Amino acid sequence: MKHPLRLLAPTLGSAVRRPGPQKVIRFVAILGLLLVPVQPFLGQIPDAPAPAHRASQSTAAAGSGVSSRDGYVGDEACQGCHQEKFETYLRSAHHLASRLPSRTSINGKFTPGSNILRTSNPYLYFVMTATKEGYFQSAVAKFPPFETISRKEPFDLVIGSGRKGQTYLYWKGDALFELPVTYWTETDRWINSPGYPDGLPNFDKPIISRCLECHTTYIGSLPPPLNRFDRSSMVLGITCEKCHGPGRKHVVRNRSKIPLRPGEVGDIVNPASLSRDRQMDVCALCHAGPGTPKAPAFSFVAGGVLGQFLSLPDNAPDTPADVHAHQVQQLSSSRCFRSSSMTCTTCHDVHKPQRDVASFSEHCLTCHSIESCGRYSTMGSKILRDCVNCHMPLKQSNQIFLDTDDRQVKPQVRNHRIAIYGQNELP
Amino acid sequence: MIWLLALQLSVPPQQQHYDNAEADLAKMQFGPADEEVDSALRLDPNFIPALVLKARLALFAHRPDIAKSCLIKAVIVDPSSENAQFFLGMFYYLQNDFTLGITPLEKARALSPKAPLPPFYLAMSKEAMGDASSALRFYQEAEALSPEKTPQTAAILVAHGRLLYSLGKFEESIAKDQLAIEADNQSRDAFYERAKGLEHQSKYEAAAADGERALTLPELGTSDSQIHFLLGNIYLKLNKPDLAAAHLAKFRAAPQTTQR
Repeated sequence: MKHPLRLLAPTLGSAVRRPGPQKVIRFVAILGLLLVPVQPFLGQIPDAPAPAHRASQSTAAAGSGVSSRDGYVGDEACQGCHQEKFETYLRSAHHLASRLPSRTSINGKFTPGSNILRTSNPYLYFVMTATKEGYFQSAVAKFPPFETISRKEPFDLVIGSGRKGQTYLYWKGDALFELPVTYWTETDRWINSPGYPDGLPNFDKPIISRCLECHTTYIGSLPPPLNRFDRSSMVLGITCEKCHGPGRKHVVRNRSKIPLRPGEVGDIVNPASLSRDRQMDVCALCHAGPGTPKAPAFSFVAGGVLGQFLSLPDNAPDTPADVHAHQVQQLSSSRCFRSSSMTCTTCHDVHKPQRDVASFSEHCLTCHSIESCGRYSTMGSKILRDCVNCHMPLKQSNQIFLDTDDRQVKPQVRNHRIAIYGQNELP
Repeated sequence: MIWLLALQLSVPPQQQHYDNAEADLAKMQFGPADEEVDSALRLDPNFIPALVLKARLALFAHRPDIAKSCLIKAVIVDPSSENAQFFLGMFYYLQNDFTLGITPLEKARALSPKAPLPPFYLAMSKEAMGDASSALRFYQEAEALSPEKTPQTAAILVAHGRLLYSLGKFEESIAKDQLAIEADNQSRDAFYERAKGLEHQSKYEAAAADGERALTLPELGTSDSQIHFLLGNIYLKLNKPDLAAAHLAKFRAAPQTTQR
């Protein structure tokens, strides 16, 4: 029988020191609240497809496929002309997808008594501390009778808006790793980070670029190992240009007040004017699973054909897709989607926070009448605001789980396959 | 320079692996530490420091079977190893095999009469076996051998105080807890035990303060649910039903486990 520490070696700090494909895969499979396994990253990542190989693009800026940041200007450049959208977008989960640590960005508590995560290992606990030097996580291991060893690492990046939880990352030189303790919103407490077994002190889960492709707007990669990045290039949060493409030309032209000539192609991507497939591609980059990369991370630009950058799992309609990060496949398998021209933005306004589930019903009622619902005869107009809860019920993720107190915590995520569900399928 | 190089080359390879394991452990690299220990043992299966370290790693990883076999092998290979004898005795204590633990702890005590830990574990073993007078004697010996203000001293004092409490010697028990807090003001066990003693003396305000302080301390040992239960009862006596209800609710909500 193998020694337990040997069995646990992949999670005990050897993922980088002695890299192995399965270790990286297992970690990525459960990293954040959006990410799933990405074995292909372990192989050589091909170059971005040449522009000539791409499908026709709706705008001049779209689908450039170059991970250079030359054409990008940042959110502030958008603010002047798009003040209203800018202000509401600042509060959205997309914008808050990644942040620097601060009293406001970290949702977990640092007050004595609330800053401790005990584990199933009677010899191990974690402490979160806020000091003048910053915010830290420490693992404290007690070896009987009285030997204590501890390891302390800083909160360097906050991943997640906090709607479901937050995971934290730290830098070791230019290499990025996941911290072992996550904040879980539902229970308002610290919990073991996704992918970390309960009861082990581990700080060595590497963060790879595909993780950051969805949790940041941009960061430049450095030569291997795969978790090395150019910190100075980092653009945190999902910013305007993630969905609109690089904005420099657009800003320059509008500040110069030079109007588009008749027939001239616009110089910024307006997703709303893209074809339906290209619109779905913008969202599918991060809401259709990790896929298999065909090009370096961050090379896809809104308006491009995502399939040339990423090979995505194509779930058959009768295959129950996992509810985490496969929203595009789920929606695509819905009758509503197949029999209409709807896209993600039919219901979602990504420029502002949308938290009221009931309010989504109004989008359903643009095509359906409440009288046509089977429940109308018994419930009457009470069902008016319940379309989503019944036809897109919450479901536990099978891909994201957190170990704690000898059990697994699985987040509840909205099923995006719009359908008529049986009573036993509803939460 | 050449002399230093020669000295370095003279370090036996198993010792080098052992040193690497210690270094890995200090960085919380448990997997690599275990691999280094195994490398040392492959080169010298009777290397006592590596056997003891492997046992300690196995204890941390909930593998008492491995810990036990390493420690038994260590004491067979070298019965004069104080470390091996002590850790085997401590292992038996942690497994509630108190009778089996006495002999190796006695041997460790004889091999190293100035060390406080063998008498400390002997005291706890004797207490667990119902021999209070022997336990008190060993606690006093351990205390005398550990005069420094350290967490180790605090743990000895708390355990001693706990036995005095169970014998109805509340004043003496509180005095030990007080000394423990002076030795280590981060000792959750010490504040909890003093709160119990103060509650028994009807000093509820002071007991509540100690209980609340214990809750904020991260140390392992006394569980949150134990403290919530105590505080719930103290606040009832202080006629603060809301606070009492809140603590008792947290006590009830805590996972009920046999593992501390």
